[in-house]
Formats: sequence, structure tokens, C-alpha cells
Amino acid sequence: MSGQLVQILEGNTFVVSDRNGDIEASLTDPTGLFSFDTRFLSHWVLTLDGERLNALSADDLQYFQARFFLVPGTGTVYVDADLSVIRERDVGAGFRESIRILNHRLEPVSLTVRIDAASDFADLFEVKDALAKKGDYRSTVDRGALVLGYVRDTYRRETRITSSAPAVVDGGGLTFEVNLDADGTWETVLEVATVLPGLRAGDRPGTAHRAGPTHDMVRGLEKWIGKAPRLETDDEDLRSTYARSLVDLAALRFSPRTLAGHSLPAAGLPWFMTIFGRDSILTSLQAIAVNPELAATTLRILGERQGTRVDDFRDEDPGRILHEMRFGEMTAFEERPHSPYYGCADATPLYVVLLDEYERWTGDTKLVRRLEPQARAALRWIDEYANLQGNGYVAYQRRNEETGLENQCWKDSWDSISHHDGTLPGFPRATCELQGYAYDAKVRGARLARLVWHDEAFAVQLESEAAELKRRFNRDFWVAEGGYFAVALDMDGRQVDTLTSNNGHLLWSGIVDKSKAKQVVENLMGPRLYSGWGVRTMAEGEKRFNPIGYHVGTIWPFDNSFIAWGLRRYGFKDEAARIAEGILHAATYFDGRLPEAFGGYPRSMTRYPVQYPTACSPQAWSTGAPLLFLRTMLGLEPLDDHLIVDPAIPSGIGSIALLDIPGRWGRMDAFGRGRVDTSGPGRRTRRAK
Amino acid sequence: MASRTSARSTVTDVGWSDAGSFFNALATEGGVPLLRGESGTLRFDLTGGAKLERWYVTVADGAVTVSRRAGHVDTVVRMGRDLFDQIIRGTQNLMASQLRGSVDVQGDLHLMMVFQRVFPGPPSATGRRDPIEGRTVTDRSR
Repeated sequence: MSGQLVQILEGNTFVVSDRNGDIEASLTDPTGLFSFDTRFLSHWVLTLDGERLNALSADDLQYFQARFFLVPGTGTVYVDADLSVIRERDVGAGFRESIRILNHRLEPVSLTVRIDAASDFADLFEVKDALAKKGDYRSTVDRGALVLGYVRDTYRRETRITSSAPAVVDGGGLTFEVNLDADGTWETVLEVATVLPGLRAGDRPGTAHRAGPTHDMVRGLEKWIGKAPRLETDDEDLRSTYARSLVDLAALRFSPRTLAGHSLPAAGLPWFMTIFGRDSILTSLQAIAVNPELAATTLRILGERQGTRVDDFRDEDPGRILHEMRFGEMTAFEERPHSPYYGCADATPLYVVLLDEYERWTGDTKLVRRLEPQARAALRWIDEYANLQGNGYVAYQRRNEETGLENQCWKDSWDSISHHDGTLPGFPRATCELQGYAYDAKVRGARLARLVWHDEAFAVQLESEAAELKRRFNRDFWVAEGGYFAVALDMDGRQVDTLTSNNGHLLWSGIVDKSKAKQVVENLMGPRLYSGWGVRTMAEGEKRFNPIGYHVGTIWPFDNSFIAWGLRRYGFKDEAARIAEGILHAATYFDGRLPEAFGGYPRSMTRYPVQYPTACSPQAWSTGAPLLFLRTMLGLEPLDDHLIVDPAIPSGIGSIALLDIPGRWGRMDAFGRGRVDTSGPGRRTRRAK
Repeated sequence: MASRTSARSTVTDVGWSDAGSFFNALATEGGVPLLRGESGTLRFDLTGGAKLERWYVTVADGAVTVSRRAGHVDTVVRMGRDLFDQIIRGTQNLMASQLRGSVDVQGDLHLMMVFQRVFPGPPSATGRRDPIEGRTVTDRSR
């Protein structure tokens, strides 16, 4: 399928089609109707008298709704078109599509309208890796409905297609004989329902899985946006980026079946519409000033599914927070470990970090008390299960050698962690940011133990462990000649000495000795890491550096938002403002929707940010980045029942007012005026509009 | 840390041999730290035997009672007896079984999600270690 794709989504259901509204997926191509990680339609093509249609326009009206204006004919000149076709599609648990045909002639017309439908029931993993199916297909006609089916042992998935207008249904689609008067209109509404026995309790075919009432979804979106603080600023770009972020974050909400009516951020469209421990936690942190409820749901769901066993296939340990949950066929048959998979070393300490941050904003001690066993188990995991090198540092090494993840930190590609000379360290690996998160988890855990759990002894114990960890970390990871922290310790406890953006996360965690912070910041803002747009994942001059390498040179907006938070934590306000300016300016080149990553070329060289070629957009933590930048620019920090505001805003942005920020203080406003000169060598001083 | 093999001295060495011994162990123990903060009643319908086998498990903030007598139910879990026996031995995983359509869960799904914490991990796991809070159910017959 070529050209622009139109995608709409709701929860973990999404439809990706071409601009005609048609779907013609190959095995490797992520187009079609997907739900619960399974493709329920891979072919969906509308024809009139056997002819394909042409798109005049295609719009996604809302993130869950698209409209296609079409005309017959294959040419590029439409003046002779005397029929119009309007397809409108709403996604719910399946989708609902209305097809309207308008006759513009002064005489009646007879037409054969046909919808061809088929499904390969591919698991998303199969689409990613182009794998063959193991079960059997059957397609039947049942009481006027076309039922596409797939069966493998007890595993059964069905797509059930019905029409409001009478149709002749066969195994490959629906045919309508349509007689239109002069100026007449014909319409049918097609329901495409997804059937997943055992997965959706209480559902009945053709009823519960249809697209929900659109009216409610529109109202739900309005309510979501209405709850968020209002942004007032002279900077139009910032305003539209903020609006875009709120809508995209709404679109990426995922309502787990065990907690109906509540949602948490899924990781990204189209590959990652599911619960990810790390992504859901970091996005909830980014969005906490805008919508703290996301954090509450994330904490509850991840707590509900916390590891309790030792399971090598799933890399599960007691107390470990899950990495990724999947619902497709390969997970069902244990060809993939995602039921759920736990191979992730940062989500567990970050869980405690989020719990504390959530309490600081909301004062919701009830949830903190409720999740005390989970938080304690997470803290225990750090010491008892993650200490794989035996030196007290958090490290990772997969036990599932076949389908587990090698790198269990956010930089999870195979070559992300390397020595200066390019060689890859052995396992277990203890990356530096994990130590920062563990330190922060202990410090914050101590606060919660003292304040909410009333366990002073535990608080004292955690504080002393944190202090000890910080002392050793600043000794063992510090690369003195470079003035930065090594990216990791290898299996022998030797420094993996590349200079990386991970140093920014260390500032955020608070593990960095005050005396070392200045040198760390000089590295982060120096020419090897800072491109003018943002901080590169890996510094120029490292052997594996590549400005368009996934974790070895590109710039990640999410990464930079946490770096800015870290800079603020250590008092480097102006540097934080520079980072915010660069990334927010980059956002204007993407209509306010930040990509997952963009090229690490110098800003002075490319003049515009070069997008990393990835299919995942919108992505939750890129969507969350502008929200966290608003926090760092305004210097928002909860202190007891107050919200501290300490702005440091780039002069190019002008004034910012964030109104009705929710929290334990009720609602509060924050104001700031841009006065930080973020211009530097080789950079433009004015923001392009 | 206790190793898996030292934890039990039964023939299977992990988990329980059948549903009866599993539910009896739960009843005898009377409480599961892993279920603290959780409350509700699950009914397990085990099929495939001469007659349907029903077990009622009531959780009240971690305290557990087991009964064969009908009462109010929040969650119904239905599966073959053979599969259940494998799950309590740790050789089958509940979540994957549910995705395959071998387990049907109706009602309060959260309760099922938290209850499955008490099922043991695979017997083949590298080194069995202490669970979240105190001992796991698998340790209970020590």
C-alpha cells in the first residue's frame, strides 16, 4: 500500500487504511483492523460496478473517526463524476462504517456495490517478523452475516460483518444491487465486530464489540481536554503542540479489562498499543501536572500484575514490574513470552518513583497505603533479584535466551551499550541510569515509609542504603578524565566508558554528587552530546556513534524531557530552558507531534530536524515530552500542599500561563515570562513561525 | 534463599498434585499475604470429570476460606480439570491458557488477576527464591 495512510484508534483497536478507506495488507504491512494484537481484517475494498474509487479527500475527524470522499473513475480529472461516495468510519471494539452513495445525475442509475472482505488473523508479532500461520481459516455466512474465522486448537478468532441494507453475502464479501433515483441517495451501515472467546468476558457476537456510540467518545474527549490545565501563551506553536499532545495522549489511553472506566497510556501506534511498564510509568510522570489520574491507573494495573514467581521464560521474579503485555496468538501458544513479559530492569524502581511523585502531587495516601505491599516488593526486588553482579548494583541478564530481551533498559537495541572502542560488554550489565532510579526509589520509598506507612525503621534503612549506593556509585561509575559517568559496568565490574545521554537521567534521579554536577552538565551541553536541537543518545566521537542510529546518536524528545528535569533539579535552569526550546522548536516541524526520535546532526548543518524512519507515531512518551517541558520551564514543584512556581522560560517563547493545574492544592495557576536567552553558537536566535 | 527442591518433599516436588490438595492447603493456611488488600469470592468450575467440580474461595483482605457450598460469587473461572492440575503444578500458565480460550473468566476480572498470584511458577525455573511477602502458597506444606 502506498501513499498516505489513514489511522484511527480506540483503546487497543485500530484501523489503518489507504486514503480511499480500503485495506489491502500484505503479511508484513501493518494495515488493517487490529484488536488485542490480532489483525481482524486484512482486506477491505469497496468497488462500484467492479471499479475502484478515487479519493477527493480523507480526514481523521477525531482520533477514532475518519471520513473519505470518493468518486468513481481512475483518471486524475473528476469533472465528469456524477456519483459521490462518502465513507465514514468509527472505531470501537471493531468498527462501524457507513457508505453513502449520492447520484448527481438527472436520471436514475443502477449500480452493483461490492465490499470484499478477508482476514489473515495475523498476530502483530507475525506482521513484524513475517511469520506463517499454524491454524485453519474458515469463512461462513451465518444469518446474513459474513463470518471470517480462524481456529487453532482451542484458540478461535472471528470477524463478523453485518449490513443494515439488504445484501447478498458470500464467503468473500457483500454485494448490493442499488437503484438510485435522480438526485437520490443510498446508504448502508456496516458493522465489523471482533470476536475473541475468553478474552472479553460477557461479550456476545455482534453486540458488545461494535463501535461504541460516537457521541460518548466525542464527549469523553472533550471531558479529557476540559480536565487538563489551560495553556495561555503568545507562542502559537507551543499552543498547538500542547493541544496536539493532549489529544494524542487521549488517543493512546488504554483501558485494561480489569479496571473498567480507568485508563493508562499505551506506548504507541501501531506496534505498541498495549501496557508497557516503562513507557506507561514514564509517560505518567511526564503528564502528572496535566492529568495525575493516568499515574493512579498505571500504578494500580502494574501493581495488580506484579511478578510473584520465578519464571525463566517470562523473565519474571517476585516483585518485578512487567515490561510488556500481549494478547495475540503467539503469546497464547507461548511462542512469545508476553503473558506478560517481565524482562525490564528499570520499571521496578521507577514504579516506586511514580508512586511517590503521585502522592506529592495528589496527596492520595489511600492509594499509597493500598499499594504498600507492591512498593515494598519492588524495593525488595532491587536488592534481592537485580543484584546479578553481586556488587549491589542493579543489573540485567535475560534468562529467556530465545525470545527475551538482551538490553533491559530503555536503550534496548542490541548495540546501545558499548565501550568507547565499540566493543560490546558481556552480561550481566549494570547500566548507570538504573542505579540512579534505584537510588531515587530508595529515597522516595523512605519518604513514603515515614509519612504514609508509618514504618520509621524501614525509612531509616532505605535512607542509609541510598546514601551508601550514592557513595559507591560516584566512585565506581565516575570517569574522572572525562568528567562524566560511565554508561555501565560490565560483567567484571569494569567501566563501560562511553559518554551518553544517560548522564541526564542521573541528574534527574539525584544520585550525582553536587561537586560533579557542573562537569556532567558541561558534557551534556557540550558539542559532543548537544546538537542544538537536543542531547544525543550517544556522544559524537564514540566508535559506534551514528547520528541516525537508534540509540547511538539520535535525539529522543522523551529522553531530553527527563534531562531537562534533571538539569532543573541541580539548579541549571537556563540549560533546562535551552533543551526545552530546542525540542519544542523541533516539534513545529512535525505539526506539534514529536516523533520517537530524530537525527543527531548538528542543528546548524540541517536547519531542520531529520526524522528517524520509524513507523511508530504517535508515541506516548514523545507525546508526554512537551507536557514535562511545561513543568520544567515553569519550575513546578509540589511542596506539601503548595505548588512552587519558579519559571525559567526561553525568551523566544514569551509568556506562559498554565491555568487550573490539578493537585492536592485544588487548582492553581502558574505564570512565567520568557527571559532565558537560549541562543548559542551556530544557532538561530529567533523561533521560526 | 530456599531452593525449590528443598521446599517440598512430595512426589511432584512442586505445586500440588490435584485441585483437592491445592484448595485444602489454601483452607488450612487460612491466609495469603499476596492477597492483602483484596476481597471477593471466586468460584472455580472444573470440567471434564464425572461431574462438575466446584470450589468457592473467599478472600477477605488476604484471609482465605474455601468452601464447596454455593453462595455469592464475584468471579467464575471455568476450565478443564486437567488444565487446572497443570496450572497448580506450574507446568501451565493461566494467562496464556486464557488467551488460548482454554479458560473462561466471568465477572470481576481484577479478582482473578490477583488470585493467580498464588499459582506456582514453572518447576524448571532457575533457582526458586522467596516470594513477595513471606512465603508463597507453594511453601505452605513445608
